[in-house]
Amino acid sequence: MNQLLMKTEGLCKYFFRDSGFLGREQKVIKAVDTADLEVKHGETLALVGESGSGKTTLGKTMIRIYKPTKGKIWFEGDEICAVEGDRLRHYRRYMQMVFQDPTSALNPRKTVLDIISLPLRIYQDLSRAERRQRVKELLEMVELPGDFLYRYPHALSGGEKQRVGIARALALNPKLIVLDEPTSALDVSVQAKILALLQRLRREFQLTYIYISHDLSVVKNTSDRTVVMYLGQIMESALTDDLFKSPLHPYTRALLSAIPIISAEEQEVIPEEITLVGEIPSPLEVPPGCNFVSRCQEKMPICETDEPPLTKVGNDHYVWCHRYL
Amino acid sequence: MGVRNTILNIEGLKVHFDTLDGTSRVLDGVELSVREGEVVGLVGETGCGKSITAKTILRSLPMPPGRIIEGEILFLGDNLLELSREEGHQVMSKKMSYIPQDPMTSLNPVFSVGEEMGDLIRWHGRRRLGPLELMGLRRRHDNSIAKAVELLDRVKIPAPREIIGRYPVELSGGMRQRVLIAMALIGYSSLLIADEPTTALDVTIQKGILELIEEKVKEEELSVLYITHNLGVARRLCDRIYVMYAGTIAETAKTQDLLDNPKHPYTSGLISSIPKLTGDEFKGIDGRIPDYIDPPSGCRFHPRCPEVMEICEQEKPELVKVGGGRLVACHLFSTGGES
Repeated sequence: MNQLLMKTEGLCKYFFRDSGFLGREQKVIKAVDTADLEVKHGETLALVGESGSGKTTLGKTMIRIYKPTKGKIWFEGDEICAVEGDRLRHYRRYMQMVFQDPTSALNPRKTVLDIISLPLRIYQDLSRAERRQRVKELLEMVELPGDFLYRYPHALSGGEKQRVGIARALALNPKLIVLDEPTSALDVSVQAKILALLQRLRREFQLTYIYISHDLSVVKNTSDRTVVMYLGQIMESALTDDLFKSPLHPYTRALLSAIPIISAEEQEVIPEEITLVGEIPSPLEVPPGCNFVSRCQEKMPICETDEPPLTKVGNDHYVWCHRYL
Repeated sequence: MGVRNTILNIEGLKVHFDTLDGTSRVLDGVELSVREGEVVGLVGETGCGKSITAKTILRSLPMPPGRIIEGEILFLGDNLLELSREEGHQVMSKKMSYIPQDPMTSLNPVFSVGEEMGDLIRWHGRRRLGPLELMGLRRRHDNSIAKAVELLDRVKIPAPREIIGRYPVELSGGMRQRVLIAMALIGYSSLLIADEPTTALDVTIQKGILELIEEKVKEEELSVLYITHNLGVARRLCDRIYVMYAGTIAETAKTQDLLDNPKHPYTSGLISSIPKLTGDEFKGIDGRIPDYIDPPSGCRFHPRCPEVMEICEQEKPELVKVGGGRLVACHLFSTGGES
């Protein structure tokens, strides 16, 4: 459990956009800015934030779907930030992803069999019958009936499509799966089933999850550690229970207090009401100093000029904020 | 509070759709009422017919393929379904307003906020424009821009004068939703229908919008039919909640009663599916939403119901009173009475 599976140091992913006359100027979008993370074997690490916070980009950069702009990534002790070609393919099979929108993640012209067997065809030398057998096993793992093999995605419900997506991610026995909001397109009654399935698979196959989500109620129930992001930067990182018990960063507190809840008992868990003013600024015009400064209600003069330093405030609890120096 | 008048009352509403595969029986006897000054939630999962219900009330249901089979919608004494197109339009445009679901696509991208709002302000409550007005040669309400600025101010948009000249693409989702809410506040309407206005927004933005709606409801004494799939949002805003499943009303009760003590097995399933911050276990509901072309016989929830009985397959349960102003459509309650 405590063995390190993945570690990133100063990981950055910038996107560049031409602007100005004939594209002579270049604007930089810092989608992920200096992310330092550790992912331990067998844990579920949640990346939490609002839309535009860079959580999906970070997830995709960590498993090298995007090429990092700067920084380092270690996977099981190997530095994979700059590997290319066959070497990268070797690592890719251990790092899989389940996408947010199950409808657009599956090719509508392929059957479930084709979809799930594609990774097998790329990585393993199996006969057609062996592949079919393996896909059947995978369908069983995600609790789908075997006669789904020849169905097309349009004949499946949202929850069933997401199960197919999970089966595809499991096909090569990965070690790490990035789950990008796997249930945000689903209804709650289906979401609960999918989350239970993911928990079971994690135990059964000793998987490690990076769980990207904006739904804090889900994160509270599924993850071991939580990283809160805002505008490309990490604001706070802690064990999930600690984060909910004592959220420190003003943004984390605002985020927690905005969760829609359904009972009085839950009310006690979340911090007192904080309503954020304004909206997440454009990533092209990030304010100097702390990224959160334009919406922070506890800002100090230093916040507008200096970037907040990393402060360790407890066991495995880190916060990037001037208030906790 | 006293006894308040019912302003909207839907009885036995059945709406079918003609499709190539057969008739899709979507709404199967919806019963719903909204009293004056009451915020009523209509909660259900994707495809349960909550938006179809709203569209039928607003007469914006595409017909064909939609067909209203039976039922009545009484709004301030008129049966909306019997009114002519013209009369219906009059009632609607004067006394109902609507906040749509998707702030990204509900504003016309080629008009600025001011133009779009100005049109609505000029149009409001009128049957038709004169020919000169249509050509844009004569403006009857030259104060429309001033009114638009005032409305934007009321929904707490910073620098409304500047926003007036902007196009929807230049605004964020939360801002657009505020513009749409401002547009819904143009008339002094009796009923506001909001169709998942915060679904596309982030939680911190959602919170601001919910606070705004809450405030406007109080200020203007609006009656609201608030459609959502999120029970947490409904809890915050609504006095009473209707739970809808597969085109039927499963249950209605005061918000806290419903959440603390759900009666219908579907409501219990729905509530227990929501992940809680307290870390209590949550479980989903087996099965999937039924096919409307060939819906299950009897109670439409019976194939997924953990407490299914023999009668559930044969007879459709009626909404029955179970005390405390609650109504439940389930044979568990219609046969044995209160449990």
